[in-house]
Amino acid sequence: MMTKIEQPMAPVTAGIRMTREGETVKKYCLFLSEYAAWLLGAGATCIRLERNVKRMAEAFDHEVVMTIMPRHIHMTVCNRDRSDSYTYITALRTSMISFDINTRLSELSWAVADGRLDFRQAEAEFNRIVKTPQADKRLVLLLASCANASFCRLFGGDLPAMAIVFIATLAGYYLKQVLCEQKVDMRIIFIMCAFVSSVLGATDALFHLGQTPEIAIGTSVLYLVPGIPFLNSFSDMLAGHYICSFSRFMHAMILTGCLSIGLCGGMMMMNIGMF
Amino acid sequence: MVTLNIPLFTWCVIAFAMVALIIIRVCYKNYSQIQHQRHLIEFGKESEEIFIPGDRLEGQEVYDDED
Repeated sequence: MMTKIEQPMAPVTAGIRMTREGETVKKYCLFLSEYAAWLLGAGATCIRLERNVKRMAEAFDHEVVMTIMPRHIHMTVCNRDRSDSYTYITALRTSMISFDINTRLSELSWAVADGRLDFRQAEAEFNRIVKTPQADKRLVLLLASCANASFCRLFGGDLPAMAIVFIATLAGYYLKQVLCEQKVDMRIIFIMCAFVSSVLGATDALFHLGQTPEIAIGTSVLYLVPGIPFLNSFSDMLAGHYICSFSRFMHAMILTGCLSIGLCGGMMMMNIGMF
Repeated sequence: MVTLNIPLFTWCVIAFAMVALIIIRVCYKNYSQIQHQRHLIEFGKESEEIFIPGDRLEGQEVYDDED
């Protein structure tokens, strides 16, 4: 005689199927899509995004499928027996690229996967992470200027060239921060900052202060090079996310074009030959 | 005849504009902070001047208190 063994069904409350923790598929989906939007906005690559979200979904005993578009994420979460599913489209959180948020969101996914956090705790931790204040602007300004001066030294610049690059970067980056606060278009910001930095970077050539004026001009705009979009674009291409890869590449190319316009304008005004 | 040195002129304009921007921003921030500071003379509440330990604190909810 055969006996039918019934699978333990998830409880149904008012037409909404609840999971073992009493959370609905909708709640998981909303949380994971919000997580994905923040992670992508913080500058993560598509492969990292996929891995982190799938890791957490598996820990919640759910399956997730998503489409990552350049500015949106289309996510479907369903339970194991696929009796219930929820789809949500979320827009990218337009936050600045932040390695801090990026790292902490990744740590959150591991904490969930290792069972150290349940859904409620993960939600609370996520809310704490996204409210992280930005790094001190004055410190970032100083460090970016020091980094650019160091680049100048690496390319063979002498001491006066390093000092000039430091001041040119300080002025250009400060202008960038001010214009970003005023919500000016990023392309215009790049043109203006590159122009200001290249004009100030030409101080060496104008007043004959050092022996390497060309290095000072060349390295004075390096802080504007969109390195992370270029790297992410390449990573996405290797992972097969061609739409995101192309989008990021085009974004980086446009910013590089704007940088070049500002640099050429500055060099032209300062009567410095390009070739 | 004196010709205009365009590179020097451009450099001066940009350099002075940046210096002016920084000075204006710093002054504006300092002015804003002064605005948020307490005034030397201002009207205060009685509880701010006379406070005896045990008095009810501002914002503290005491039920059935009808004094």
